[in-house]
This record gives sequence, structure tokens and C-alpha cells, in this order.
Amino acid sequence: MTTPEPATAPAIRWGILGAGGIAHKMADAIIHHTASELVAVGSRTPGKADAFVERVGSGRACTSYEDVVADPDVDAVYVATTHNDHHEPALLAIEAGKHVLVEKAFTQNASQAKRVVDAARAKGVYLQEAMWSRFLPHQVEVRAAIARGEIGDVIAVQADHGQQLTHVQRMVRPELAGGALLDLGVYPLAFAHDILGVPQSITAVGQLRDTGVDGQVSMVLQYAGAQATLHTTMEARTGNTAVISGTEGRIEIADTFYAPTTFEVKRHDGTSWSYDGRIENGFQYEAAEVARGIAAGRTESEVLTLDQTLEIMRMMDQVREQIGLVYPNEA
Amino acid sequence: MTVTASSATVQRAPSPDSAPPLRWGVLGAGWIADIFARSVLGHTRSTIHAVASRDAHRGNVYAKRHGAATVRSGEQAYERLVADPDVDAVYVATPHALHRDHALLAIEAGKPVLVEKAFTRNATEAREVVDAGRAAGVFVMEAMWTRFLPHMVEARRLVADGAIGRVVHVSADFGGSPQYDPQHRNFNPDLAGGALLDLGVYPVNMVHDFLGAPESVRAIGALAPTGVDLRETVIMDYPARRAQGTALSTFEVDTARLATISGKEGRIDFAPEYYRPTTITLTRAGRRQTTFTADAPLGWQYQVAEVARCVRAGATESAVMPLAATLEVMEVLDEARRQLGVAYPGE
Repeated sequence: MTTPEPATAPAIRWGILGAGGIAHKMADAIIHHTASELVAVGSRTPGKADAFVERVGSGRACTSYEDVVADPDVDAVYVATTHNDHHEPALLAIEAGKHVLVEKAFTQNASQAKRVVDAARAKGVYLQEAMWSRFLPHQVEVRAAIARGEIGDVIAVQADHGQQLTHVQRMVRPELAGGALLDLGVYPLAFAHDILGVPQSITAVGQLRDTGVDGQVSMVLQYAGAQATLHTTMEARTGNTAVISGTEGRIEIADTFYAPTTFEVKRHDGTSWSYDGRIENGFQYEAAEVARGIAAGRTESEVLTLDQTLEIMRMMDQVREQIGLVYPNEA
Repeated sequence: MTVTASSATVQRAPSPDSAPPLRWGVLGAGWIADIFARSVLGHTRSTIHAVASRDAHRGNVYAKRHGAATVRSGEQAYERLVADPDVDAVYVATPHALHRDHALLAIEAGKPVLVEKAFTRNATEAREVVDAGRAAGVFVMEAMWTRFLPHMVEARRLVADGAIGRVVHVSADFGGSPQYDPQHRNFNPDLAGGALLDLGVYPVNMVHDFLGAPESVRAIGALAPTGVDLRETVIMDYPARRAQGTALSTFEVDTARLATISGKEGRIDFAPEYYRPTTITLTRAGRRQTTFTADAPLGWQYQVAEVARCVRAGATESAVMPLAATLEVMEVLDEARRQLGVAYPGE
């Protein structure tokens, strides 16, 4: 099984909302690794969009999100603002009839996510969560290996995502929907969901920082006959590996498990093989998925459906409820 | 043992064969007693003087293989072994459910005693043994051999020296796949079976070694048809230290058996299998800094040497595996079992 090359996906014209680090990474992916183009970028911070456009060498700088979504040259909008500010820009783009790719965490909570999904379905536009890992070649191969039965029945999934980011404002400030879970923990949670689906129950133990956002969370997801052990923290750079242990072998995904990386399949019969999925950037795969979906007349991805995005958001809500993570605009 | 390290500051753990010799008496003649004897004979100056087994044939085979002068079996086998004046120290290698009684036998006879992990079935039994040892002034130690291995000594040194900053998270797992047999000690509640006491004791110990006793414990898992635990994740929470530990164990599958200690400024990754002699890697600021390999055969000789040194020095416990640590680990296991719903007959 091979993942289709992003460069062969149909060309679409992108607008980006937000001009931070992740928007830069997407601009690089679009410009250098797909046939698509970047036509507009919007930031509310004066001068930020101008600097962005100058740096990436492409697109029109806009000082409002409205300006981007109203641009008739924009086919699809990538929402790359802070987590607290995903659902409104997404709704804005949907209302304008644009297709939308929303950075993960998709929204702050499941009810916001539901509103965005409902709006897109009513409007008939394409909508996708930017959980880029699901579309990466190594993750596609991991799913294929499991589907072929190479490791038998999956019994245990382990994944962690920790970065030392306590100096980053969007991470520590509650009004920006900061915390480890929404920014980092969404990866191991979405990974467990990718492999095992929706759990029967979730147990989460978290530690809140003095600003009220979560510094670290350990999570156990229980399934019939299987279990996922997950961890996230913004206070330390952890191993960032993932292991899937099955009755006939296991898959060990190397640091960094959610980004383009390598993995090894070790079977109990003594055979093993490895896969090198390291590529530049990696965002091009999710961007290509959007372009192919639009060209095919679909309104959502088959690899990461909107129902799955809602499932992941509900899992996040459950974790938040257990660790007492409430954002100011939700109180 | 070969030690390789890119750092010049590595302190070698003292060689086990430089420790004073002890004449060991072994209670139980199963596979774990066999590994013990091979470690003692192959890598220390100590000897196996006597073995006691319910099964005379097994005892004889063991004695022959390991050069033990005395075999005790049948009535009062264990009592007669601990009373043997030529036995300097006793190793308890019987099933978990018998650890307390056998440790107490050795203590009553005034013999230093090394008790296989899990130390006892529960913390109450553990306290009985610890209290008896302290009252009698007899050396007692849990056979958590991992703590004495050179790579563990080095990992603790790195953490103590601040190489990774404040410890934020410790993760470890140990999954094995023994065939399901309701009668086997692994699955038999009468023999204190279950993945937690047999395998989970390793990852829980890893977390404890670097973070100490947790403020709270959460355990989530599944049970075998016999009622013992088949699988569990134990979350050890240290809110005051802003740290957490996650320990996974299972009898269903062979897991990767990895451990990682993540700190504010760096990380120590243990190669598989962290609980036996292996390699550790220190990473700081995204760069691999030091690799330390303790490529020793077996590995149990380090704990055997610890007992010998402590006994000769007149100590009643080890500073590396103190009895307080053993009790704290047993309390974690108790709380985890309580949450999982695993109780042994008579508890």
C-alpha cells in the first residue's frame, strides 16, 4: 500500500487564517510540496500578515479574517489560529461558502465542534480536522499492517507527547485555551482513537498549573480486551514514541510518532521489518487530502471523518471534566 | 562486565566479585532460584550451601547443578534449612503467597534474608516481615535486583546531578505472555497470582526509584477468569512535585519493555529491557549526550553482592533498596489491587 503523492493532488487555492508558526509550516507545505497555491493570509495583529507574505513569498496579506474568506480566489481556508479561536473563523469561512481545514484541537470543546460540523454539512462545503498524522505515510502503513493482522489483536497502545513549552503564552494562558491536552495531548488521544476507536471508558489524572490550564495529564482508555496508556505534558520533552502491542507482535513507532518518522514491526515468530516514513514537512498530506476531497465532490475525508473528529473532541471533553480543566469563556 | 560511556565522569558500580563471600541457603528450587544460583556461582565469591524444596527430586537436581552440600525436603524442610549453622544468608524464592512465612522463618533463625519480589502479597505482610527483621536486628532486603544494576546506578547519579533537571514524568512497562493456566502461580489467586505482583512490580519500582511514594494512585485494568489481574496501568500522581508516573503491566502480550525518565532539561531513555543490564541514553536540548552500557551477564550478582557487603558491615538494610521503599511499593500495589478488585484468599 502506498500513500498517493501530495504533489499529484489537484491544485486548489488556499487562504490561511492566522500567521503563527503552524501557518508558516502549512504555507511551506502548500508552496513546496503540492500543486496548490497560497493566495491570501489573514492576521488581526497589525503587520503580521505582511511579514508572513514577505517571508513565504506568496499570497495577499489581509488584516481581517473576513477579507480572506470573502476573496473569490480562495477555494479553501486553513484555520491556524489559537484553539480558543477556531470555531468562529471556521464558521465564518463556512458561511462564505469556503471549504475548511481546521487545525487540531479542532475546537475548544465538543459542542463548538458540533456547531462547526453542522454548519458545514448544512452548507455542503468540505470540512476536515488538520490531524496531519493520520495522513502521513508511516501512519497509513501502520494501519495497513494492523489490518493485515501482522500483530494479531491489539491489546495495548502506548503513546506520549511532551514538550517543554511553559514559556509559550498560548500554552499557559487559559483565555487562549492553553494547556498540554488541547495542544499536545490531542495527538496521543487521536492516535489511540485511530488504532482502537472510541473507548468504553476514560480515566484521566491531571495536574493544573497556577494559571488553571493543565501542565500534564496521564490517561488510560479502556476497550473490550484492550487498553491505551497515554501521557502528555508541556513541562518536559518526553520520548514521544508510540507502541502498539498485539497478540502476535508489536509496532514500535520512533520519536516523533505523530510526525514523519520510522517504525518497526516485531513479530513473535521472530520476523521483523521496518518502514522509513521520513519526509520533509508532512502537512502536504492533509492538504492533498482536502484538495482530492473537494475535486471528488466529497464534503469530508474518508481517512478522518467528521464523526471521528467529534468522537475525539468528546474524548477530550471527558478528560477535561475529570481533571477540572475549564476555560474562562465556558464558566 | 564491560562498561562503555562517552562521559569521563562515569563511576563504575563496585564489582560483585569483590564482595565478601556468603554461604547461601535457598528456599524454593524453581526457575528463579536457578537464575539466582547461576548469578551467585558465576559472578560472585559466594556459594549455594543448601536448598529446600517441597519436592525432593527438584531439590536434588538443584543441589547437584549448583553444588549445594545440603538438600532439605519433606517435613520441616524450610525450618531445617534456616537452622543450618553453615547457612550465612537465606534467599526466599518460593511463590509470593509464601514469602512472609518463609522470611519470618529466616528472621527467627537470625539469618539475613533476601526476599524475592513482590516482597509479600500485601503491605500488611510486608510490615510484619520488616518489623520482625528490625526487632531481631536481622538484615532484610527485597530482591529488586534492577536497582543494583550499573545502568540504574548511573541513571540515579545523572538525575541526582541534575542532568535532566526536575523529573516530570517516569514511564515504564512490562508485558509478558505466559500461557493461561488457572493452576499456575501466574494466574492462581491462592499463590497470589496476577500481572501486577509478578511484572508490574518492575515498572512501579522504576517510578518509585525516581519519584518516591506517590500522593495518589489510579489503577485501570482487566482481570483473568481466575480473578487475578491480567493487565493494568498504574498512574502514580505527585502533584506537590508536579510529576507523574505511568506503569503498564500485562500477562497478555510482550510489550516493548521500555522506560523513560523525562525532566525539565533532559531525558534518560532506557533501551529494552530496562530491568536487566542494558543501555541508557541521556538526551539534553534535543541532543544525545551520553550513552552508558552495562553489558553484564544475568545481573542478579549485584544484589547478591549488596547483601554480602551489608551483612559484613553489620547493616540491617540496604541503602539502595531500603525497607521503607519496599513498604511504599507494596502500598502502591495494594491500592492498585484494591481499585482493580483483586483480593487474595484470606486477605
